[in-house]
Amino acid sequence: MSKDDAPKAQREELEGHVIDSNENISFEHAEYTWELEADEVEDGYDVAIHGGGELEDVPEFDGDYALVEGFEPFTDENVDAIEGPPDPCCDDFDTLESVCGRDDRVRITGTTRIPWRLVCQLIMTFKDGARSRCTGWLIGPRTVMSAGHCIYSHGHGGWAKKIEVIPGMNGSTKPFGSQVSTRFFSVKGWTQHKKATHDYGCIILPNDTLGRRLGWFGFAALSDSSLKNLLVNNSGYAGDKPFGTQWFNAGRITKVEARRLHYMIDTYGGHSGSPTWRLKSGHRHGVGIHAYGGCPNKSTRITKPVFDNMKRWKYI
Amino acid sequence: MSERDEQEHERTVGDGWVQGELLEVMESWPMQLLVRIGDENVTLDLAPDSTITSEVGTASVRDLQPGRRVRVRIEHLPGHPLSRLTNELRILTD
Repeated sequence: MSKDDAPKAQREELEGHVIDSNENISFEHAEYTWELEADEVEDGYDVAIHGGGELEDVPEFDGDYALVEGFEPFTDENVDAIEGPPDPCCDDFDTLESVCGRDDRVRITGTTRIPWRLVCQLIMTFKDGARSRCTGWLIGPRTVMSAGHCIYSHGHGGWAKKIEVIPGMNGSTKPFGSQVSTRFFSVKGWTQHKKATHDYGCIILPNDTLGRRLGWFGFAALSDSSLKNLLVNNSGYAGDKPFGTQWFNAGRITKVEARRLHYMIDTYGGHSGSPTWRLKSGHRHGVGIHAYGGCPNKSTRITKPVFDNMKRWKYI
Repeated sequence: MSERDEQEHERTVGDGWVQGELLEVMESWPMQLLVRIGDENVTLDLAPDSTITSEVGTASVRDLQPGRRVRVRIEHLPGHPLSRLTNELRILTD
């Protein structure tokens, strides 16, 4: 890093400083490296099997469409036209009003299985009495990741008063029960500077009962080259669907920014905080925390500073 | 609440129709919009039954994209002095 980059790096470091719901700030040094030369990976824990991205095996999900959605058609005039079935990314489909392109979300009904049981319905109550919903995902025995704006709301007085965490919720059923937390973490870049690029945080459960029983996701800070065009999966609790139902979608990352990932994966309100994960050789690693809509939709990217904070939170 | 949020609420936009730029669509439920109104970044809840229109007719949540100019009707919820809600939004043509 050049001398000219030092002030910018220092500002970046400050905004990555952890802050908890008691307003305690951790000043642990977190050196920020702009460009990752190698991927950094933290493995998950799968109680059943522990231990260029793949699609989850979800019946009725159109994997062919997921592979190309969001990409421009290949227009190199030097390439001969290829005869064959129409390209799903380029045809006109009747679009439903609330998602990107064709709505190919699929409901997950087997929420007691990996990885769906690691995805949690969140019900937040804020200090002003407002209630709202998001999605979270287990990354440790008692740690649930989510979006910063699900844990600290600039529109509702700051930190949540309490959050109910319901892993694998399936309609009206809570197959593993739930826990209520009042302890949360985020970063100053979100809580004090409201930066979309720092929109992430976590919930600490009262004990490790749920995590030890269910397992947890791995997570990874991948380089730009590893993320480019990567096929990723997402699942969350969509507000336009029946309450408590989990919905899956997948697609490629269409744009990699320094701190955000763009994709045309179908999401809706309620999906904030859901995991955007890579499946590779049977191992699952979150690479982003879904937070924003607007087609393309966006995740907060798990960069090295985010990864380091997640590792700290994982072992609280 | 952070000092920044307190300042925002003190000098904040009142109820009624205002115009601004849509900065972000946060996918909590209800959705939250971050809208630039004057020199303030204002966080609004988007009511689930909101009416969303454009200058050419009916629109939807799918049409809410960062960078669009919007006109929103803001109201404070009774008993929730910190919450600002919109249930009517019009997407403006640039």
